[in-house]
Amino acid sequence: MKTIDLIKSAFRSINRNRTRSLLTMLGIIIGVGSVIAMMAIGRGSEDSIKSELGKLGTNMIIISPGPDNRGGVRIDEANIDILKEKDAAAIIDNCPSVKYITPVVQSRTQVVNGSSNTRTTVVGAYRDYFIINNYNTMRGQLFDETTGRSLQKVCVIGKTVADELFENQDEVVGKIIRLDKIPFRIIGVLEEKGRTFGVDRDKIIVAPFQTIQKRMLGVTYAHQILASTDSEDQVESAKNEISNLFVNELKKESGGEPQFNIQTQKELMEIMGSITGVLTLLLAAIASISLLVGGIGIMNIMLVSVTERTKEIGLRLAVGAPARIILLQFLIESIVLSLIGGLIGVVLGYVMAEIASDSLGIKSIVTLNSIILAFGFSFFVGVVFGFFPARKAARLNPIQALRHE
Amino acid sequence: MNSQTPVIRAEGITRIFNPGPNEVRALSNINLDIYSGEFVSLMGSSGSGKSTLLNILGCLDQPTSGRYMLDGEDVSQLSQSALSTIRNRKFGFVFQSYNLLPKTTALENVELPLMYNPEISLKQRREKAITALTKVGLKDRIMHKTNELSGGQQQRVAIARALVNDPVVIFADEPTGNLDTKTSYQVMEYFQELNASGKLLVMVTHEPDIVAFTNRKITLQDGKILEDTPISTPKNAKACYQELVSNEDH
Ligand SMILES: Nc1ncnc2c1ncn2[C@@H]1O[C@H](COP(=O)(O)OP(=O)(O)OP(=O)(O)O)[C@@H](O)[C@H]1O
Ligand SMILES: [Mg+2]
Repeated sequence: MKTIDLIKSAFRSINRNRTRSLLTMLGIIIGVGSVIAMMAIGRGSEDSIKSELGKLGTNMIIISPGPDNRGGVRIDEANIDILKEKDAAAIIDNCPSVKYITPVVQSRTQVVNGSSNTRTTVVGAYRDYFIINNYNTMRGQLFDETTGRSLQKVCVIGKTVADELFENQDEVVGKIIRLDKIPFRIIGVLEEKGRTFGVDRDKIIVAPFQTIQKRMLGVTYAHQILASTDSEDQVESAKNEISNLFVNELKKESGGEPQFNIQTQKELMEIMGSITGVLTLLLAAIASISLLVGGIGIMNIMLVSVTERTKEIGLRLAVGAPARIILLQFLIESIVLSLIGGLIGVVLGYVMAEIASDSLGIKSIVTLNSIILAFGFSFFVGVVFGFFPARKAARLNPIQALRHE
Repeated sequence: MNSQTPVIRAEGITRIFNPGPNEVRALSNINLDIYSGEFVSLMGSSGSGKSTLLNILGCLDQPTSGRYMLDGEDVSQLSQSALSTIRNRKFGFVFQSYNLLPKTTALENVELPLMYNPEISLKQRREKAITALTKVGLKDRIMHKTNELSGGQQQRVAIARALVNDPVVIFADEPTGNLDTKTSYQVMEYFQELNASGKLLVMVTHEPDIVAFTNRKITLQDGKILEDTPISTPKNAKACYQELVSNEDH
């Protein structure tokens, strides 16, 4: 029997029981569809997380206290005072790959302008902070090193803070606001940055490091040190340089093992990527259970088909069909059945992914990989669940099969 | 006649079903030679073993003991796949209940045995099937689905299917069992034509008037050959058919 005969006969028998075939395929259709949709949504959110992180600057290196301080936000009380301003100076002097550096202190503070007030994050940092975080001024100017050293009470405010505190935006620069009752003069307003992970990047006030550290918080340490390189490929070597410096120099001084954590933005992206990757896989695994159920449906209907067509199989065997060709005939039938289901499922998955991104605002990306995977899986399901019925057909005895009514 | 090697030689063929205390001895010690050019009818009461013998001779079943020599070759110990090749290349089968594929054209039904012969191309397959259908007078029914054909026409499609691979032997198990006298005679006409063109035919039948068209009658009883007689002057099916038709007209 030629391959074309086998495929033709598969299509014919599927077509002969159209409703039944469609119902059988439904399991595969739903399975493949949800695998595709889940993977598309997973891939989409991974992508949007990456691009959000990318907005923060891919060259950034975050040095924070605490041995286990992933994410750089949580502060370990025991080690909170490990980073000092001089460490920033040591890094910029000893690490050739590092181009920009700033120690950072931050605090959530009440900000008051006359009768308006708001709570916002106040960051104390060097001028490099703006470069590292891609901030530019919209109005006014930024402060420099001298303002910090002389403990001047000046600040640069984000767009949201400006909107919340002032009616007339043209008059913001030069105004005095109170941060924790301490008066600060506004010397600049930052360009709008929008949101990252739902956090408003414009709800921020940046003031010189020394001013915030000494005047406002009254501490001797920095919460974090941020560093940055000129290009993305220097990030890795910069990280190594900083790490060596800390181990060799700072350890000696402190006489113990300093507890710190160096994290690059790239690593953060990878961590986030792997988290969403695991999530995607989990969703796809759940979705593939319905593929399995679909496979059982196919096996069931193929067994029915073999029983129904016992007489036909008997005839084919009688006129000299080798058993393996009979096996192949039914195997191909179940493969074609599940591949058609897979094909419809791909379309369905695509549509579901589109609907999800349109109505729920979730970004979704249907990748070729997910299509190949889902398709391959439905082929696999066709082979596995078709084999048993096909073997049953091939093992029939021609005389008994011919007598079957 | 007996100087040539027989096409079919059964040597002490025994077939036992359900071996054990409830065994059924369907055939016991059958010895039989059938030569090229013969048209053999197998007679006997129900359960005498006719179908069992035909199935063994047609390589659809294997004897419990004894030897079956086909064209001088022992086929009683061959594998299933070797037997299916023999059936495909050397035999044609006609059954009482036609056994055509439903909702399939006459042409495709006739093509069926050739599908399992990889040496035959799609084009040859089609040509041979059309030739076979033409031989049984169904040239104008080639594209008809089998369920659109009368019983007699369906059996003729089955005959075309049996001869499409140019077989050495055609086996028929009660081919006229479901047909009226007139169509039975027509089927016998095609069988006699095939016999005349050199094919060996082995046919199981109950009906004495059908036996009269063959040239050898073997009667079975309880799995043994009771009687084996040549028929020196077989009736001509074509003439009988025409006589029947002209009688109907009057
Ligand atoms: N597969 C089987 N299993 C058990 N017994 C069987 C089987 N096939 C046939 N027999 C028995 O073998 C004997 C011969 O059966 P067979 O079908 O050859 O008879 P037959 O002469 O063709 O009868 P009929 O004219 O009714 O078709 C019967 O007694 C039958 O019951
Ligand atoms: Mg019988």
